[in-house]
Amino acid sequence: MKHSISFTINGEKVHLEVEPHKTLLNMIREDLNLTGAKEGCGAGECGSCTVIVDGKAVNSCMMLAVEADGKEIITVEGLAKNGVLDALQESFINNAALQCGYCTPGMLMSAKALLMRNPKPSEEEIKEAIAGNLCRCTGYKVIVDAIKEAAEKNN
Amino acid sequence: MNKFQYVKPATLNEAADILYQNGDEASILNGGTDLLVRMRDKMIKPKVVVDVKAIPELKELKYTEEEGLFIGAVVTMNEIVCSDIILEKYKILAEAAHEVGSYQLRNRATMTGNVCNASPSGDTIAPLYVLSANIKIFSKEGIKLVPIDDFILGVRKIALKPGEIVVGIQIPPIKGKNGGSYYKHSRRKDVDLATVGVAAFCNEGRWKIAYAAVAPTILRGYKAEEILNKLDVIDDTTLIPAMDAAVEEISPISDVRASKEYRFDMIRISLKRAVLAALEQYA
Ligand SMILES: Cc1cc2nc3c(=O)[nH]c(=O)nc-3n(C[C@H](O)[C@H](O)[C@H](O)COP(=O)(O)OP(=O)(O)OC[C@H]3O[C@@H](n4cnc5c(N)ncnc54)[C@H](O)[C@@H]3O)c2cc1C
Ligand code: FES
Ligand code: FES
Repeated sequence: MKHSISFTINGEKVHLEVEPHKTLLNMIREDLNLTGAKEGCGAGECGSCTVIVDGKAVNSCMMLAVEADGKEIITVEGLAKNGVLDALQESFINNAALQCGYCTPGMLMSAKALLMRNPKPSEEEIKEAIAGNLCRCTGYKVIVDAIKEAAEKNN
Repeated sequence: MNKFQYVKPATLNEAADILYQNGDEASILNGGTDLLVRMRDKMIKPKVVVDVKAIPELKELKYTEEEGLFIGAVVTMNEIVCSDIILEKYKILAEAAHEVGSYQLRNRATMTGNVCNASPSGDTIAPLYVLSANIKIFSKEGIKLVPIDDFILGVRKIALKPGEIVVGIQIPPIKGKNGGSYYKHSRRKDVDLATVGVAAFCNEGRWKIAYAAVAPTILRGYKAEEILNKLDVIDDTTLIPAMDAAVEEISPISDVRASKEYRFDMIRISLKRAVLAALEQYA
C-alpha cells in the first residue's frame, strides 16, 4: 500500500505517494530527480547520501521515505540561492576541496548542518561533523580548510 | 528491501495491539540504523514495520532525585550527548553515546535501539550494566522494569514477548562520590565497532566493571571489581592484578575485527584506561 506524504524540500512543498520500502535517498533521487545525494554504501557507512532533515544531518539511505512526512528537508541542490553559491560551495572551490566529487554533496550537507547549529566550530568540531563522510580522493585536509574558511566568512 | 506494511501508532496501546496481532512478522522501527541495514541485506523480512517515533511516552528524557534518570526509547544518541543532566550526573552515558557511529548516525540511532539490538559490541550497553539500568517495558498487562542483565539473553536475543514494547531506560539515582568511564578500543576512531570495550564505574569506593565485545553478551567483571574494591591506591602498578583478572573473566572469539589473542591482550589495557579515566571523574 502506498502512503500519501507531504514535506518541504529546499523550500518547496511536495505531496507524494510512496511505497513503504523506498528509502528517503531513493525517493529524492528517483521521484524528485534531485541526484546530488549519492548512494555509496547504502548502509550508513560513507555519508555520501547525507541530507538535512529538520536541521539535522542524516544518512538518507537509512531512513524510509514515509518517515519524511511533515519534515523539512534540504539537499545539496538547496544550498545555492538565486544562482548564488553558498559560502561553503565557494570555499570548496577556492580550496580545491574535491577531486572526483562523489563525496562532495554529502560533505557539504554535513558541513552545512554543522554551521547551522554552530557558526564558529573548532577544528575538532569540524572533524567530528564529517567523520561519517568518507572521501577516497582528497585526504580531508583541504575539506577541513574549506569548512574553516566558510565559517570565517560567516562571521 | 522486501515489501512490508508501514504503521505509525500514536499510542502505546495501539502499538501493543499491532505487535501482538503480528507476532514474529512485525519489527519495531526506531532510528532504523540496525533494522534497515538488516532488512536491506534481507537478514530479516518483516511483514509489518511499526514506527514507534510518534508515541509521546517514548520521547521523554527526565531526571528526578527519587527515581533517577529516564531515557525514552526514541531519544537519540546526539540528544544524550548534549543533555545537561546526563553530562552532569551520568557522564559515562554521554561518553558511550558519543562513541556510536558517526554524527549523522547519532542523529537517528537511539540507546534503546542499541540495547534491543543486543550486539556484544553495543557501545552503550556495558555502561548501562555498571549503572544497574532497568529496561521499562509496556504491554497490555501493564508496565514492568527488567534489570538490563536479565533483559539481554544473547547475541540479538532479548527478553521481549510479542505485544511488548520498550518505553525507555530507567537508571537509578547515584548518591555520594562517583565517577565512571567507557573505553572503546577499535581499529579507527569513528564508524567502527568496538574490538573490546570496558565500562568502569566507582561509587563510594565500590567498583563495577563490564566488558564489551568479548563474549555473546556484555559481561560483568566481578573478579576485577573485587580486587579494585580492596585497593587503597590505584595506579599503573597496583592495577596489574585486576588486569590479570579481566583476562580470566572473558571468552572472546576471533572475527573480522581481531583475533581472540589480541582481545585477551587488549582487555588488560582497556580495563586500565577505563579505571584511570573513571578515577579522573571521581568526585
Ligand atoms: C554505519 C554504522 C555504524 C555503527 N556504529 C556503531 C557503533 O559504533 N557502536 C554501536 O554500539 N552501534 C553501532 N551501530 C549500530 C546501531 O547504530 C546502534 O545499535 C543503534 O543504537 C541502534 O539504534 P536505532 O534506534 O537505530 O535502532 P533500530 O535499528 O531502529 O532498532 C534496533 C533493534 O531494536 C528494536 N527496537 C528498537 N526500539 C525498540 C523498542 N522501543 N522496543 C522494542 N524493541 C525496539 C528493533 O526492532 C530492532 O530489532 C552502527 C550502525 C551503522 C549502520
Ligand atoms: S550511502 Fe548512505 S551512508 Fe553510504
Ligand atoms: S572527492 Fe572523490 S571521494 Fe571525495
